[in-house]
Amino acid sequence: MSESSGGAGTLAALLVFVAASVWLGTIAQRIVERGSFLRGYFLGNRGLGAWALALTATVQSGGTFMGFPSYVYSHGWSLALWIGSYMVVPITGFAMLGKRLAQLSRRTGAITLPDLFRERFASPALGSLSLGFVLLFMCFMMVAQFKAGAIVMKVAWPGSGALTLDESDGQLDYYYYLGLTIFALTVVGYTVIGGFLAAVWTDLFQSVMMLVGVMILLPLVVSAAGGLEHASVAAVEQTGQEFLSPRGYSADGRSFLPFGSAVSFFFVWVYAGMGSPAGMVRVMASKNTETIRKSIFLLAAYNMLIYLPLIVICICARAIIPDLHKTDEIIPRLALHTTSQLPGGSLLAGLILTAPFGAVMATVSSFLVVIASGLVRDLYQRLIRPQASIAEIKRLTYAAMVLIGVIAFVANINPVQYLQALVVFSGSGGAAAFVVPAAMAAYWRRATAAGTTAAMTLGAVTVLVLYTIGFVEATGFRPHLLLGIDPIVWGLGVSLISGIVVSLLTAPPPPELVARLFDQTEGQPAGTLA
Amino acid sequence: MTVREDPVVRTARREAWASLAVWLVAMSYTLAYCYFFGYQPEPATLRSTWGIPDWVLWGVFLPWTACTVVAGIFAFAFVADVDLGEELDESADSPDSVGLSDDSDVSREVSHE
Repeated sequence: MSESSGGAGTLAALLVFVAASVWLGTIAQRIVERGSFLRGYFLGNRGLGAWALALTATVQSGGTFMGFPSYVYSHGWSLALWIGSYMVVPITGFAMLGKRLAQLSRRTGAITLPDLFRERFASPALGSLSLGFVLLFMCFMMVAQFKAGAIVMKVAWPGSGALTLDESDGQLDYYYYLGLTIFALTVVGYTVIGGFLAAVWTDLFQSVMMLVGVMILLPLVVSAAGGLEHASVAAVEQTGQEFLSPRGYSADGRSFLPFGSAVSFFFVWVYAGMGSPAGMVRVMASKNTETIRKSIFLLAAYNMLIYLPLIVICICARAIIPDLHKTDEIIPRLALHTTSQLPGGSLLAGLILTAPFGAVMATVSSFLVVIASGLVRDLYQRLIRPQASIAEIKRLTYAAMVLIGVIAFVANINPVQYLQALVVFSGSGGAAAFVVPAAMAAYWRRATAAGTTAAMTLGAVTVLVLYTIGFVEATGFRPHLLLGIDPIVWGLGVSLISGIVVSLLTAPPPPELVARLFDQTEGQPAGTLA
Repeated sequence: MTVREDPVVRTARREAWASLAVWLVAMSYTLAYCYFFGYQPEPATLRSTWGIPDWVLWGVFLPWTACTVVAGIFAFAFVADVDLGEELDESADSPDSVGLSDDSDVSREVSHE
C-alpha cells in the first residue's frame, strides 16, 4: 500500500463491505415479501426498532465524511460552532414531531410524506405539491452523493494514485469511472432488492462502521500529529490566528463564519434534520413510542462520538498533511497515511474508508426509496393509473429506481462541485418546505389545506429565491445572506407567518376530519378511529 | 359519548414544547458564550486548554456533553409511552381516500391480508 492509493487489503475490506450491504438487501427482501408490497417495500411494515431509527433517520451523509472534514481542515476550530447545533438534533428531531407523525401515518394509512399531507388535510393538491418539493430537494442532494462514493472507491483501488502529492491532475480518470460504476450498481442494486428495509438495515450497518472508522482513526491521527496541542499550534503557523477563532480562517481573507451565520446554523441542522422527508418517513415507520424515545438518547450519544472526534481528527490533519489543496480527500488521505506503517495497515485503511463510503451509500439508498415511492405511489398510482395492479406497481418501482440511478450516474460523468453546499441547500429547502406544514398537521386543529399550502410554497420559494440571488451575484454555490442571516431562517419565518395567516383567513377544516385525527372517544382505545 | 383530546396528541405537544425549550437554551448559551469569549477578543489573545480553544471547550464541547445527558433524561424520564393505535389499511384502501377506486388491485391485495 502507498500513501497515494490503497492496497489489496484496502480494496478487499471495501468490497467485503459492499457484499455485506447487498446481502442485507436480500435478507430485507424476504421480510418485505411477507406483507403488503407497498407498506413493506416503502415503509418496512412499520417495524423499525430504536437502533435502526436512531442511527438512520438522521442527516449524516457524504458531507459528514467528505465535506465537513474538508471544512475543518480549511477553516479550523470555527467548525465546532458551525456543527454545534447537532447537540440538540436528537431531541428536536424525534421529540418535536416524531410521535405525532407516527400516529397520524397510522390513522390515515399514509406510507409516504405526500400521502400524509394529502390525507391529513383531505387535499390531493397538497399531496401533489409536497411531492414536487420532495423530488426537487432530494434529487439535488442524492445526485451530489455519487461523486463522493466514486472518489472513495477510487482511493481504495491499488495503483490508482488517487492521492498523489501532485494535486493538479483531474479526478476524472479510469479509476473514477470504475468507482462510480461499482458504487452505482451496488447501491441501486441492494435498494431495488430490499426497498426501505434494505436501505435502513444497510444504513444501520454502515452507521456502526462509521463509528468504528472514527474510533480507529482518532488515536492514530492524534498520535501521528504529536498531540492535539502541537497540531493546533502547527495549524496556526500554517494559516494564522483566525484558525483558532470562531470566525474561522479563509485563504481569501474573508470571515468563514460571521456571527449571523453562526446563529443561522443553529437553525440549519436542527430544522434540516426535522424537515428531511427521508427522516420523516423513518419516524412514520417506527414500531412504537418506546422506539422513538430510546432513539433520542442513542442518537445523542452517537452524534457526540462522531462529530467531536471528527473535529479533533481534522485539526490534527494540519500537522500531518500540511497545505492540502484537495481538502475533501482529507479523511481518505489520513486513513492511508496513518496506517501505512502498521501491520495489516492496508486492511485497517479499508475499514476506516468504509465510514465515508457507508455514509454516502446510506444517503443514496434512503433517498432512492423516498424518490421512487413519490414517483410510483404519489404520482403514478394516485394521479395517472389508480387501477394499477400490484405487479405493475412493483415493476414500475424497480424501473424508477434504476432510472434514477442512471440519471445520477450520467450527471456524475461531469460531477457536481460543492458537495457540502448542496447538502446545506437541500436541507434548508426541505426544512423551509416541510417543518412548519408538518407541525401544523400534527398540532394545530385550525390549520387548513390552504394555509399549509401557503406555508409549504412560500417557505420553499423564499429559500430558492435567496439561493438564486446568491448564485447570480457570486461565484460558486452560495446563498444571498439577507441581513447576514441564512435563507433557512427566512424560509422558516415566511412559512410560519403565511401558514398562520392564510389558515385564519380561510374556512376552518371540517370538524369530523379534525376529530378523526385529534380526538379520542371515551371507551375507545387510543389510536382507533373515532 | 365523551370526546377528549387523544393522549398521543397531548403528550406529543408537551414534549414538542420541551424540546423547543432545550433548543432555545442550548442555542442561547452556546451563541452567547462564543460571542463574548470567541468573537469579541482579538484572535491573538484567545486561550487554549489541551490544544482546544477555550471558547470551543466551554462554549461547544461542554453544552454538547450536557445535551447528551439531557437527552438521556428526556428519553428515559420525560417522554411518555402511549399506544399509537391501530394501523388503518393503506390510504389506498380507504374508501374516502382520494384517487383510488375500491376495485383497484391494490385495494384487493390489502384487504386480503
